[in-house]
Amino acid sequence: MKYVLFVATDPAGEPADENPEAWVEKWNDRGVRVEGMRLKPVTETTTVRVRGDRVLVTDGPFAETAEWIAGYDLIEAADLDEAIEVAASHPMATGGRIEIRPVEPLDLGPGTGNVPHEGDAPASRFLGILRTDPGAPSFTPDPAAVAHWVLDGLASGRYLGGEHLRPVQDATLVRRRAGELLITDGPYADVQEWVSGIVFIDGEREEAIDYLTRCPMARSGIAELREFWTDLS
Amino acid sequence: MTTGPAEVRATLAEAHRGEWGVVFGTVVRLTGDWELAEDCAQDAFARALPAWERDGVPRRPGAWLVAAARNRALDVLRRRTTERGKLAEAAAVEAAREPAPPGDERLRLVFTCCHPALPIEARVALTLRAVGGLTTREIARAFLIGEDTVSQRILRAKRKIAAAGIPYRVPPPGARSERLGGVLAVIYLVFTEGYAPSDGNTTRDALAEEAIRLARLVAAEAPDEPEARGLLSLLLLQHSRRAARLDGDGGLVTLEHQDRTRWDRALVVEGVALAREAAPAGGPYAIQAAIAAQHALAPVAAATDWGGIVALYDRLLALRTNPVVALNRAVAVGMRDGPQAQLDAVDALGAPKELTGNHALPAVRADALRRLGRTRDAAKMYRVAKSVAPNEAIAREYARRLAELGPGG
Repeated sequence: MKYVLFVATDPAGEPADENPEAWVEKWNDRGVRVEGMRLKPVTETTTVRVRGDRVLVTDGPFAETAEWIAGYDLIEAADLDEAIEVAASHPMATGGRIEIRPVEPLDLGPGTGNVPHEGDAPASRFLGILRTDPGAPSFTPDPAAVAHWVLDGLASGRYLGGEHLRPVQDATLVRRRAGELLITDGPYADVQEWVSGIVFIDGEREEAIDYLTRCPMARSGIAELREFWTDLS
Repeated sequence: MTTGPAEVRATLAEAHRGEWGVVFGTVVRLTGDWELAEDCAQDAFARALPAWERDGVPRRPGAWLVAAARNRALDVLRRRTTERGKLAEAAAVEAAREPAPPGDERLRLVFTCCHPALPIEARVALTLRAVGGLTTREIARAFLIGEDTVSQRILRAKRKIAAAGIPYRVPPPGARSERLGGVLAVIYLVFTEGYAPSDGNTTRDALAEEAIRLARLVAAEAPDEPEARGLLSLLLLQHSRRAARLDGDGGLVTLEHQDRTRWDRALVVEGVALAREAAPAGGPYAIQAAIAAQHALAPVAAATDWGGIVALYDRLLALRTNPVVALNRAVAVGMRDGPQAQLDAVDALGAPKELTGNHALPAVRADALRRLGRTRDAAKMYRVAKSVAPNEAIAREYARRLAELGPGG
């Protein structure tokens, strides 16, 4: 099964001295880890919402939470127990917290798949984090409109891929505290606006923002634009 | 040979208690489909009644029920196969003619139902339903919650098992001890809800007995885990006192004042023997069982080995600091060294946040003050304890102690 791991910060985290490279190597070698990238600080977020005719673009994340997503990894694990093993061995399970989310395959029709990319080279400059918004008027994105948005993005080079996630009820949180492994039900932060999907967006910031404002999911939810660390030296 | 309807019903009820989890688990193992397992298990038990009345009770009722459920699962999958072309599924069921040992099946089921990625209340509900065979109505009654709530919790748990890929198995050796802790916690929660329900003054024996049955199952199937025996021992010893715990009016009777002739001797004997086996390995349940065994072994309250009990509390606190355990230790110290020592031990606890608003803290202080003859101070503390008592039975107990202080209070 495919899972997205959200590597999140946690003020209650403990110092961890292992390095993430060893973790990456171990799970790459076992063919479990597919890809993953680190994100620049959450303060650099641009938040995009579309409500009716109004396009709302604001600086900063949708909400000030103590915990924020610092990176993601995509893994292909046998089952949740293996995904937990992978998450638990990450240094950020000690220093932060890791949310495990099963991926729900979403077929939007021919030609809408992810753009293949190699290894850990950043595939795109930005990550779009799509969230639900319980405060927004209910709006169901039309699959045809989503497919159109994807195809349009593929043609212009904005869209490089994405993952649709199972609802937050299927999330599992992994932490290591005082040497003990803590496995609990739920997401990385206690907010109503849970992550429903991620998309890889390339181009200049203004182009990426513009592309997100046309995202059908931004009409009913919240789209956060986060920049990857591209200089990995 | 035909059997009388009453006898058939009795055998079937017994099989339901004993075999439901095995029947349910078998279908889960073969198909990975928890809804189908529910359907097939129910169907097997429904068909058993007329079949057994007609043909007699089979020699191995459990095996009959497992076969019936498996055959139905196979039928359903064959039908689905023709609908969706999923040949592999039906082939897998067909290949698995040889049933797994019933103990393995139950253990797999209990570990899966108690997976830490499931919300705790869902773990409790699913364990009682899938392993214990309790209906949603029975679970709802036991926990004083709506049937819809129970159904929702079970449904959510089943959905997460499927969607998040929670495996149906006993965890591998590396993770087993850790996961066992979660299983034992669920069983203990079921027991305490039956033994000291959060709503107050009645004990629900059925729930406590179900917890003991689950603890027995885990202890039997995981014999190399002393904590499983420790928990079973602890439950047996606590349950042995059930007849002596409440007075005629439903009021709580403290351990000190219980009529020990009303303790269930068979449970005491079994519990004490298990505590002796489990205690040396020394997990929290094993040590708590050893403490309960010390009480069980004292023919009268005055003969209790308080020195031994203090030593056990010290071992428990060495494993993990816990203010509630420290408070119990203070009581044991008081019984060993007198009321001033108890008061000193309570004062040494300070005001940990875990005990904020806890009725036991002022009550333990009050008991020490009473024994020191400081009636007025004791009365003040009993009033505090009474004002924060979590239920009516406990509040009444403090009111009684307050009244016993007499005029000085």
